Amino acid sequence: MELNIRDEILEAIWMKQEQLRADALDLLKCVGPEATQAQIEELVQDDYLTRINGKVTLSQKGRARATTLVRSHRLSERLFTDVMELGEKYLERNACSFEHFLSEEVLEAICTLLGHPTECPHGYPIPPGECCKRAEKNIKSIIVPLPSLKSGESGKIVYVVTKHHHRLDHLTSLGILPAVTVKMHQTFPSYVVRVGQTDIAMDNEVIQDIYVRKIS
Amino acid sequence: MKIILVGNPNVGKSVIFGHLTGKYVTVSNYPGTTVEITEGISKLAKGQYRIVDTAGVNNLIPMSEDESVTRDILLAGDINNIILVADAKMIRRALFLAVQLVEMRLPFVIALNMYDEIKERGMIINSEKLAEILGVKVIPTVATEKKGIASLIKALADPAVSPMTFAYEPKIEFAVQDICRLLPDTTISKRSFALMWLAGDDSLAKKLSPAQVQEISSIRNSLAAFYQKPLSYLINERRFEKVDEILKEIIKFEPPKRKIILPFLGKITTHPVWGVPVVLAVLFLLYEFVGVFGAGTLVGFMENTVFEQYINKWAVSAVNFLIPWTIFRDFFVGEYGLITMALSYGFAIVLPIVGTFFIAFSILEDSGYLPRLAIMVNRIFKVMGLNGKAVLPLVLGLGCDTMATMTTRILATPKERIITIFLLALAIPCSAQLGVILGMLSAISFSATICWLAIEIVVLLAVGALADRIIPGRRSDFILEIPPIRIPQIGNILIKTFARIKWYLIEVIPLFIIGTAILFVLDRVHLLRIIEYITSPLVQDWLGLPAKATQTFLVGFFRRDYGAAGLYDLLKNGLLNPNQVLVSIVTITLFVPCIANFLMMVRERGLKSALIMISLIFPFAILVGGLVNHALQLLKISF
Repeated sequence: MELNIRDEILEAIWMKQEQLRADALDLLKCVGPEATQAQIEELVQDDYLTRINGKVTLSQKGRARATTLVRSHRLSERLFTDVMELGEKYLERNACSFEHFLSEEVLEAICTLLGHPTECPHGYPIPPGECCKRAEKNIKSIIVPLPSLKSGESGKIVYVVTKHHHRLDHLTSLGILPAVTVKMHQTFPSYVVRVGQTDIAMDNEVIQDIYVRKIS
Repeated sequence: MKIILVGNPNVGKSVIFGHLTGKYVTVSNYPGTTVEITEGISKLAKGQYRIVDTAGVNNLIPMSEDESVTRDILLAGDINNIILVADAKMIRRALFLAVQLVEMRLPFVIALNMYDEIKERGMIINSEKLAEILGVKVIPTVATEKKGIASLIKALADPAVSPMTFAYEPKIEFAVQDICRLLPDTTISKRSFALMWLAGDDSLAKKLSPAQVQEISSIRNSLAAFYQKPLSYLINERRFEKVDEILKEIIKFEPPKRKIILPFLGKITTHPVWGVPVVLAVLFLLYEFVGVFGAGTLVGFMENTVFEQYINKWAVSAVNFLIPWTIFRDFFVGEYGLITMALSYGFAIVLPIVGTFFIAFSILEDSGYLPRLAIMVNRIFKVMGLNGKAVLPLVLGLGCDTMATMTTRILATPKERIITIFLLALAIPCSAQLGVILGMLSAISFSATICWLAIEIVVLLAVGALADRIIPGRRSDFILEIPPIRIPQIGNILIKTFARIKWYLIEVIPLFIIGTAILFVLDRVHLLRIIEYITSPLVQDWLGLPAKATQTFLVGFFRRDYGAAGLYDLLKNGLLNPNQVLVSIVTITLFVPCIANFLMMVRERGLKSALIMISLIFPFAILVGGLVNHALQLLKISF
């Protein structure tokens, strides 16, 4: 059980940082009194935790591991509630032990089976995995890239893909955000769209990052 | 005590600045005209203030060099009040800045500018309600007509910080609190600093210890891990949410009173098919006005009538009467005389051309056509590693390359700035030069003009494409706001033209005089002939030009147009045949930029880059000129 306890510590810190729960006591119930100072030291040594000004916090490696753990935990909870219909009292304990054994493949299978849920039964967010991102692409058929609008057509922005932070910030500052209505004015030689009372010209590389739901 | 003007690009900050200080700054209908911080003094009700005009920004979290300048001014402290200038019809984006000023806990008033334009669009803004919600003064203005300026000045008297607050989601708020505990006291609220930091602007890091920086970064990283979207996006999104909440309370729409002609013009100027004849028509009008009227009629009048019949004659007799020594007489009225050469070139040839160009450019600028031109040329400019935005400096370069070099600061990346500055120095002839060149070309044949134009364009594209490959870095996104087409106001055009002409006279005429004086000295000590002799293989054999052409290239360094004017003289005196004209103007167009342009290049990019550019341009111009010469000979073409 040595490894599990270490996992629980990482998870506890993750959730503590999430600030959603007042403290991590619930989780430490799973961990039990075994979570000793020694184990924390060991985690620091293995580069899962770092210490800044005496406070222990997750390292890059630790955060990645913890994210996977929280994801498995919350997905397991969903699985137990939605599919197996287990009661609340079995939920936490089983999820606690389940999370450590799920491989990435199994996790993706469960996630896909459940339809890529975004929240656990308690309403906490489930960190998204690779499969969720892939699935998102498939939904795009209803949602089209802005440049596929013909001139004169309008659409409501659904999302702006976030590959380039700089570009995203630029667009955001001009008021190009989800739920805003844009109207395509012309598509050649450059794209010109109207957002509110502003006409904005963009070239292809930029505009293809904006996805809209067509308004007929 | 400072009063600072901030706002989105192209909302009229500079016009308001002008009203407050009585100082003229360049105003145009093109986003991003103000690239330098301008300061002026203003006497308001409660004493004297420094008024600071800033470059337009869309976000106070900076995304480019000029945006960080604006942010730094806000952080510098000693601010008495801020005027947030808003384009009333784009109030949403102005309020996005307003909520950030609110967070910074800085005092401000809102000037709701271009208030007249919202009515046409059927928009009604309840400015009293907005003032009530924000707890700061909101003044509707029409700055170009000076409406509302008096109320604005009155409103500046009592600075007020908005009491409004709004929260982000709990996780972000917790992180903000944690970061606030680590921050030292600053001129703006710690909370807004923390949010800036979360959004990725860690410029404050310099003021903190490495341990503190690490701690803040770790808070930011662990917060960021919870979201798929970057934190800056979440913060901006929440701000816009707040803005939209406010907008719901203050804006109403009516069916707009339709104006037909201006929007129609706006549309055809960017139309994929009709836009092309519009570009050609604009170029044709520009040519007619600057090339034919300016360089032909006005120059003819100034040169033949004003200077030759009056000023030169008068000067010669005055000098002969006043100065007994021949050498000093020559210094003023000789072949390389101050009056007969420097001033008559400067005022008779160059000024009419530059003047007419500046008028034409101001009209283009104020009408809002230039951003539309950017849409048309964006695809072509991509070949050169630039995007459509570079159209402003490149077109302005047709007026004055020095001025254009200064405006390259509106471009977002260093790579774009270097390429544009290089192309300006190499291949964009300034209006004075252009006027003289077109005058010479029209004296030969139309086919020679086309030939010259083709060579220029090929060089521009080829060098641009090559520079794109060689110079590291990236091209910025082409995202450009298109302002509405407006009818330019005569007053503004005159003011702007005069300001530019004044700049030109101060900057340029002294260089003419220095150039002439150096030539005079070179001629006296016979160095001119020695240089002509040394360079003769290059000039006479490779370029196939008469030895006298050497000095025009030499003076070309003082002013490119000055050099071109020298060629014009050679042509008039029958020293150049048509082929030689083509070779010489191809060479002089590409030839090194004038001194003023070179100094501006040093200022913008540093001495090293400027020298590298010059040392590339010089042999390149000679090379291309020579190639044209030999190609013409080989193909037995003569014009």
